[in-house]
Amino acid sequence: MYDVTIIGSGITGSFIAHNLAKYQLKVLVLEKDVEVGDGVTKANSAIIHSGYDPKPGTLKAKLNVLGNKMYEQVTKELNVDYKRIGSYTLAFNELEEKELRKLYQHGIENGVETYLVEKEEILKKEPNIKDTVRLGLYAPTTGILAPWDMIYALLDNALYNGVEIKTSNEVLNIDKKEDHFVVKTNQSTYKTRYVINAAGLYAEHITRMVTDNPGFKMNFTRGEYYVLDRGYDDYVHHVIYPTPTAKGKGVLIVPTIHGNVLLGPTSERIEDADSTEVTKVGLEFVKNHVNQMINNTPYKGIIRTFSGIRPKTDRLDFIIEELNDTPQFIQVAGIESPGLASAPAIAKMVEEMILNKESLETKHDYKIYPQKQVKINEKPIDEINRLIKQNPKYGTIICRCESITEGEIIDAIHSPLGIRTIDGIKRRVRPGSGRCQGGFCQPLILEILARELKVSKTDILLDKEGSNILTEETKINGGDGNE
Amino acid sequence: MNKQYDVCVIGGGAAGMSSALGAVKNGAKKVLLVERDIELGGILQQCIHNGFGLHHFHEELTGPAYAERLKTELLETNVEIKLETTVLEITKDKTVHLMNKVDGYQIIEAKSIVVAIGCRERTRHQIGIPGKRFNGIMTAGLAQRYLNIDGYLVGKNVFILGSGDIGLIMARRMRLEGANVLGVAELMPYSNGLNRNIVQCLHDYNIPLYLSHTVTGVSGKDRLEKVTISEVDENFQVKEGTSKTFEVDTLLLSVGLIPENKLLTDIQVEVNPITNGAYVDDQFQTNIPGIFACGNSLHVHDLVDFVAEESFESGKNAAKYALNQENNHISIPVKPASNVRYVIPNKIKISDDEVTFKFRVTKPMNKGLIIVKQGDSVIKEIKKSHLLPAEMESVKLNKSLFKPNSQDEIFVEVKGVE
Repeated sequence: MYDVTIIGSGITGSFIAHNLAKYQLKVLVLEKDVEVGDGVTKANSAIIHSGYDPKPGTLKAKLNVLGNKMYEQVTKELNVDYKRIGSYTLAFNELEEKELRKLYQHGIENGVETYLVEKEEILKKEPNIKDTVRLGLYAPTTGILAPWDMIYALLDNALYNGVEIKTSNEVLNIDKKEDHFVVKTNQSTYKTRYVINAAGLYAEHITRMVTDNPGFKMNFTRGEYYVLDRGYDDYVHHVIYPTPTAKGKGVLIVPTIHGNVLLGPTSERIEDADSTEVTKVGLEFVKNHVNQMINNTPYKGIIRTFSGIRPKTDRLDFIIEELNDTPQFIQVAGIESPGLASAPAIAKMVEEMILNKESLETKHDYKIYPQKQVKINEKPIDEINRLIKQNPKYGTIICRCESITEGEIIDAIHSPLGIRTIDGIKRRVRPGSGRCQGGFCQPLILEILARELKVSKTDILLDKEGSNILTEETKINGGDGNE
Repeated sequence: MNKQYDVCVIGGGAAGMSSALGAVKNGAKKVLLVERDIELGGILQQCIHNGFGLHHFHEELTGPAYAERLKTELLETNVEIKLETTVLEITKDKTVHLMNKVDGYQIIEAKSIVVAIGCRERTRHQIGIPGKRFNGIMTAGLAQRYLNIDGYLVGKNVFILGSGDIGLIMARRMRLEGANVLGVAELMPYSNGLNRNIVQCLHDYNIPLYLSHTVTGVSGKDRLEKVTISEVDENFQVKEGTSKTFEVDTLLLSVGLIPENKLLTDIQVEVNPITNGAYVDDQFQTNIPGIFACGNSLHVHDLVDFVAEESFESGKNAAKYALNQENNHISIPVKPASNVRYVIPNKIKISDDEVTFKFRVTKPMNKGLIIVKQGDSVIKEIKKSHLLPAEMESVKLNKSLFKPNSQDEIFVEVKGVE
């Protein structure tokens, strides 16, 4: 019997697993996909919002502000790259200017450090912004990180401290017993005292397994993005927001922690949780809105497009509560923006909900996982040479766009969490995320994966189940003439 | 600083090998060739079809055979070759940062550097094909590598977007390996591949070519299931009611090659926005003295023979630079004019030797007049039939034809002839 089963390994599920790993609890994380964090967390703007934007008094406002503060420590503790680069929210007309002053008040009420700044100041800091800008709201605590870097660090650490993580385990049914649940997946059946529903887009679907009254309706909003190559360091230095509207934060310009720039997202209601397409209309929309704010956008540097889906419920706020008619089923639903920024605070809240019901002792042997992830391209030369002497595979570059070595890829495959897919490797170590988008390195990574996992090359997946890259071997028995 | 070289050539494909040969045969004593793969040859290694070498070796060779010829010649020289070695960075003062598993991270010095690192393929994301990101859409060159080097098919029912040579050759290749190839769509009203490839790869196998068509939709669940193409008008706008749908599990993209120039742009080498390669003079020298560019990383060629020829010259000039034999005559800019997309070189030094202008026309022309001008005066006129954007034109001239003491720019233009 598990004490707690977390459904979903996105940023909230991972933070919750990380927090609960401290206690003497038997914790299980179930993930339906092959790799962790492959849903909402994979595709968003990757911003740790400062927290001036959500309506004062909402859970979003409270947890955003708290979460932003918590990131500083947790990223340091787990050795995850995080930068507080600050943000400018810009007003280009009178109406927006009025709205921006309102936001400034929100900021004060939410307890967030913000400054109203004049045109000259904005243009001095961000010279590409259109000089029709009238007013800006500067929020110095806005941060950026790679969401999946965070997830890998959280889950590696959770695993190291005894949490079990089972991927490719889709929850099919949850049976409510007197004091526990029986969770049936496509792989096995697990008994658990608590269920934490962190299933992201599928939160309503999971809730309906235990009750007919989920208390909310899940809606889906798609956001489409462009990714610009690295090397446009002079284009923007801060997160750039337009003045938000009822529809959301609008089309942003966001430097990433790896030196790329994201342009997007759109905001479009869609029917399916898996409608992750990009559209001509959506991408044009992004360009038009970017062009309204800024000059000199290096569109020739586009290396990728993607879309992500936000789990936006009809309650318009985060839903974090124990189900009324189902004790010990904890709902963590509707974690749309600012979900990433709020995740550490959401986890803290869930942790406290359990602490209020159970008297828990911390583990005596709890230790932070000593992350050994080597990043060759960030090391000084003599350190690189020392590492190559220890392990010559750190000397072979596999991904030339991002300068990633074979040694780093092998490390990822054999990390506590383990990586099995081409896209998993890409998210964890970055090969394939550069200019050529895997055009050169994909066959090499596929070969390393097959070799290290001791499987056939045709078994290697791009991402989800069924996304095998190679369909058939052509040279079976070839060359020996004895067929 | 452990080692000093006269010339360091980066890239061991046709361009790099030819360049190293050019350097060593023109007096460079210490030449280093750096290749990141496990063997020399570059993309030639995955081009197992024949048709290479008609100009240079006067016979039809396969890609690997062509590479083997250059390699054999190279191994007879004292060029030092480092395999499985990646160049991470070059500097303006001509150091080369390289890394491999044996030597670790090394910085070497060279008197001149030739960058010959080829190009990469334009991807789905760069041309914005809408739809989900399921598996089953990949570049033609990547599929070619999987098939010809690793021995695997990437799908059974195939459609191809773009009629570049790689796409055309992969249409035939996948058909020969048992896949069904349902068609090739090309945005332009003419093919971007060599005429002989249209005939030998499509016509001979009854694979339809849809000119003025583009992919307007892809659908499927985890894997591609359907591709929809539609006709476009002269402004590339989709014509309503012209869509056709094909049930395929694979869409291969042959939608353009982009010269790799990150090593050069990192040190502020000026790049031509049309070719995406460096601006070079007639020595193949970039705006940074002693740094040269050639092959497909300079501009995309249609024949490897032209790559080899051009790169041999660049190696020769890099050797001359290393041996301080460069001359310091005035440089005159060379620019494309009517109906010409780009010209290489981008400037020439007036001397008494010859220069070859290489260029591409902007549209197919049945008959044309190639005109080389300096300022307003016509230097040379050449009549030509069948000018195609897919086929690089070249004009060889003696530099003594140009006005020696003039700063007047040189133009290359093509006039249509009725």
